[in-house]
Amino acid sequence: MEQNIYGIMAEFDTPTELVDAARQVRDAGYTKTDAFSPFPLHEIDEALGIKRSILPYLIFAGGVTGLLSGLGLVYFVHVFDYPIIVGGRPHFSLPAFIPPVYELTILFAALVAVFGMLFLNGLPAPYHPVFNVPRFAFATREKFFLIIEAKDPKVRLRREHEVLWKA
Amino acid sequence: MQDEKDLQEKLRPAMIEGDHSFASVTDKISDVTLKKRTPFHWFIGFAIAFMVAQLLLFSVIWLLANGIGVWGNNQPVGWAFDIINFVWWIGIGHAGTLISAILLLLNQKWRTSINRFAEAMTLFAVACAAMFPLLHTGRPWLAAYWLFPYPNTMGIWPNFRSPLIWDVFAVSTYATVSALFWYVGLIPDLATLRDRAKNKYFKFIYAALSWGWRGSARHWHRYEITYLILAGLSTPLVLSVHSIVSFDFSVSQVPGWHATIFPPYFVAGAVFAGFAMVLILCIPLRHMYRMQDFITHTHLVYMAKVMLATGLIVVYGYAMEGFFGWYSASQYEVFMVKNRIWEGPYWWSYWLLIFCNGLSIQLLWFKRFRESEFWLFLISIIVSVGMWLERFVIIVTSLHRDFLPSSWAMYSPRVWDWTMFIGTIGFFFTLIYLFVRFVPIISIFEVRTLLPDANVHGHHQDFEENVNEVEYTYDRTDPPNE
Amino acid sequence: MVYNRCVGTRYCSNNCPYKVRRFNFLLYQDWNTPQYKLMRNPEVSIRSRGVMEKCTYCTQRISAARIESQKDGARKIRDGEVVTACQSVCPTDAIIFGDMGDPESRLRRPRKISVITIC
Repeated sequence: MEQNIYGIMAEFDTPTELVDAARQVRDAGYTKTDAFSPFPLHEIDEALGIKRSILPYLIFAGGVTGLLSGLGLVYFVHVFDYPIIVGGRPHFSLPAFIPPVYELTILFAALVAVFGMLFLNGLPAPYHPVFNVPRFAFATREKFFLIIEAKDPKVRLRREHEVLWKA
Repeated sequence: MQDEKDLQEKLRPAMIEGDHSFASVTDKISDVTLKKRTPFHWFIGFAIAFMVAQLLLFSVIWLLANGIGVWGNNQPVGWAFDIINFVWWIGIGHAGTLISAILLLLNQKWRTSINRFAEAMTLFAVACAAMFPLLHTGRPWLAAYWLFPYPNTMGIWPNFRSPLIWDVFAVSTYATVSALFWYVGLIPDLATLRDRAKNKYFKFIYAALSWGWRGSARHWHRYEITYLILAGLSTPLVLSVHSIVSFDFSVSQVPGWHATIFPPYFVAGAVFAGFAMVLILCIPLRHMYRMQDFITHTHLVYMAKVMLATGLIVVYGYAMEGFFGWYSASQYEVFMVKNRIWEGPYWWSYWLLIFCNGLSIQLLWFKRFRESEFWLFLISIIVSVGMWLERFVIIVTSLHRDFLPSSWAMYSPRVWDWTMFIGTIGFFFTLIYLFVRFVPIISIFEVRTLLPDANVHGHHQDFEENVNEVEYTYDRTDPPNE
Repeated sequence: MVYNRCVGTRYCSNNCPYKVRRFNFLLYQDWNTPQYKLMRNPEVSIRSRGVMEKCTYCTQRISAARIESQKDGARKIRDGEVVTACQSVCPTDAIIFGDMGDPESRLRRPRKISVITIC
């Protein structure tokens, strides 16, 4: 029976209540928790103890990859594979290569930013147990939800209930 | 509650008018998309736009069947309407990125209710723009892939030192990043539509498009990082794109094109033209869909001010073009300036340009005109015409009188030049109409954050733990006496 | 000009100070009539529409001369060995083709009348 329960969820009307509740849940020692809100809340990161994502580093790495592949491309083409003198410039005429290399840097970084975010978020996720709560449809409208997942080592359903009700 | 509101009113002009809650904001904006009955004016507008768009289809087919010769382009005016329209459209697109990215980085809250359709405008304008450099080539069926780095069977590569190749990289990157930025901004709102849609099919489509977004705190955390970094990437991108477009001219050697002022002057012109287009779109839109609560007079006034500022930079650019022509002491440059302003046959286009871009915006110094929707709309249309003329002046009047008098000639557009241009306008508005019907025109989740209720209020127990936190969460909306 | 690679942006034409480049705005050649094939020089490609035209200095004649010089043991191409088509038909000998870098070339000799040199 208990294995089928994904977690226990509480609904709140305001972000303040959600953040308060999240802090209490965190202080009570729960770690497998999550909050749902219709817009980003900066306070919830601290309240739930969410660590800063590694995403910025991935994006930086994406940008560097774009830079290197852009430089590699122009070097390969104009120095190695098809060297041709245009306008009396050297084969590797860096100033003239800046625009395409620059654009490739931005392109790669932006692609990593978006697809990295989706990947780390586990999206697309057509199904998720939270959608089984009928009132959860309001999470994209006006309500705020807090969940303690059943796989949290501290979960014993009764206590869990009390913590959320008190909040 | 009343105190809070009064205090907020005093501290900054209202970005949302009327009494709104999270639910009312959500319902009001998403109803435009989800309402069963599409307003009648939508059908009329869409039908007109769609018919005009057919003109584009017809012109493109005619062009592909016969060649560039159907246009008025000839020696020595090798570029004309094609590149004018390209630069015009891509310039219009820039305001969307400016609003969504640069104003986000500058923490300007007023961007929130206009960024969604400004970004849509960017995408559609870039779609119209990207058509021209492709179709203006003699052999577009080859250009479509030869312009990208791909060696042909003879092992010949594109020349990466050419501004036209830079253009390909800039415009394609810009289109991709703008589309990503727009779509990322849409995901939470598509999830809202998914949860609110009654129609089974719409629900399915919005569910598929929102990729299972559920508003989890961890997701929001990464989402915000992505959104901010995308804004940070788009900002240098948008500045580089129009700089690179201006390189098409400034890297060349034609008098009137070869000018170092071009990149900043083009970027300012792009933002100028783009804000004019945003105003042209948002003034009717806010009335049609009764969005006056979200797109307030404050928004219009701010946009008018940006238009005035960028317009003045553009006017400075005109002055500098004249100055450099004289200062260069090159007979060709001096002749170009004289020819452009009073001696040449196209003098009228220059003075019309000065009227549209230089004189008409001076009205915006006055509060009376800034706050009148009628005048803003009129000035925006004049500016759009003016920015088109600017590219006409730069491209056509520079080319038609270049170095050797023996090759001088006049340019006049033919019917296919006009149909193609007007056709892209129809195509643009067709896309805008579809967007207005199927996608929330205002970013719902961002508007929610503007409501006073969105602030998390601190508690006294936290005060001892983290002083900064309380400072921050008390924010400006808490009554000081609490 | 690399006709095969030209997509026809007309950028070179806009920038050409002498406007020697001409663009095939429409399809000026008849590609289909079989009899016309006999009329054409097999060594010169027919340009399609959408391609920029420019004097190639009779690249086919230069190639032929180069091949000859290679056969003769990789010697230099002699002065006057390459005669362009326009040069060969010019009755007043106004057009001279040659190597400007070669001090012995006919091009470098002092001329009594001013002539148009192509190089």
